[in-house]
Amino acid sequence: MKIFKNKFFIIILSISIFLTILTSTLSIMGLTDPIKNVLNTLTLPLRFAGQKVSESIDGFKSYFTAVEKLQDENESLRAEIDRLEGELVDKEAAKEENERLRDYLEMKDTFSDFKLTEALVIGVEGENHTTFLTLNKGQKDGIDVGMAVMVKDGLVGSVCDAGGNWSRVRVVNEASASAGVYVQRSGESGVLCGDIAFKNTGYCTLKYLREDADVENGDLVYTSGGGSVYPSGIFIGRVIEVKSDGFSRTKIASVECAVDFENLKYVVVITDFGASGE
Amino acid sequence: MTHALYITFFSILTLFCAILQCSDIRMFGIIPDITFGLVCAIGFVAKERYGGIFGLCGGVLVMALGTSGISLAPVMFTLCAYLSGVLPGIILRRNFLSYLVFSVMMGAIHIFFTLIYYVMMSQSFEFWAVVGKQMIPELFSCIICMVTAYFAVLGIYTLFKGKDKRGGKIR
Repeated sequence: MKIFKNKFFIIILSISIFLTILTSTLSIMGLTDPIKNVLNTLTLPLRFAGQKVSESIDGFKSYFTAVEKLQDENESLRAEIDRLEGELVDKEAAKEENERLRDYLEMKDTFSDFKLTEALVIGVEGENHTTFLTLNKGQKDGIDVGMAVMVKDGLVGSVCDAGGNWSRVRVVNEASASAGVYVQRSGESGVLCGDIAFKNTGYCTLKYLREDADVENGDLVYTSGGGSVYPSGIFIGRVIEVKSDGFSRTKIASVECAVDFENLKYVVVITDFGASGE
Repeated sequence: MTHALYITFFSILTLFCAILQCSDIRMFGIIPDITFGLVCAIGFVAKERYGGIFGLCGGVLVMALGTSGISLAPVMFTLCAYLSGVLPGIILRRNFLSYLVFSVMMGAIHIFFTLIYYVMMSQSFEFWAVVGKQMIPELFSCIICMVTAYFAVLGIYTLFKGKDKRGGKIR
């Protein structure tokens, strides 16, 4: 063909073949190619500029090509967030259960003579402040009327009604409730009663204290075991006010209950407390 | 004077493209042969002599700056740039549409050389994997580079030259 018989073409192709063979042979022999050496040395400063230019081009390109990638990344991140939120909820629930079981174990250790049954609060009744709690366990689980109910913080109340798989608890500050108690510091004994005046406050009234009873604000109040309903030594609350009743010639104290009756989820029923409860 | 100016411009452009090609630039996941596209465009616009010379220089630059070991760049660049200059006078016309046809032809020659390189350097390779991941992206990147270079080279050439010596207008 004419185009390949052209003198210029033959010369230039021969030069290119020669250079190809020369550089390739030198490279295979492990020797430095002089052409490469010279060109690389001369163009080295320009290589840095070339690198910057290619980075700019890549950055410009990625602005347009990244949209779809960003959308995919967005979707996968949303899915990951949903998964992590689900895990967080599970972990929170697990943590809560862990704390609850730890408290239960602590109670079992503290009251090792007691037989305890844990129950879930499934309902509350009363106006403004809780007075009765409904539990998810009943007679089938060994719970019966007259059994004491407590939590880690202190006394809750006593079972006033029980069915096969449910029971109802009268909390200790309910108007019709009462419990034999004593003041830890001085040993003074009295009767803790619910009072309709304290219905919305979580307070109880400590009655039938002697006129000269040594009771002060801040004193801790525990069950005394009198009445065979509540075992002795269960914490109830703290005295917040003491006053004398001139009519009955006794002292009356207001006790703030330690238990938050409005936020109860799990309670423990004392199904048996043996002789230590007397 | 104008002749020297556009030769200078083409030289600078060839050097710039060779340096850019040897930096971290990617198109369709492979390195685009920008210099190849440029020398073929020079061959098409400024005819076969300039195509041959710039093809040789471009090939040597790419071989020196961007390869090690055996490299067929000088032969491939020289051959394709020369053919880009000589074929339009024989088949088709010297216009943009025919340039597109030549882009595909030169792209095919480019990927043929790539295949030769793979055969020379690899004891065995998966043919269809090379076709899919290397050769087809290379073909498309060659075509894109050649078309882009065409407008740049034509702009420079028209600016300094106007009409060619034979009296035909460069479109």
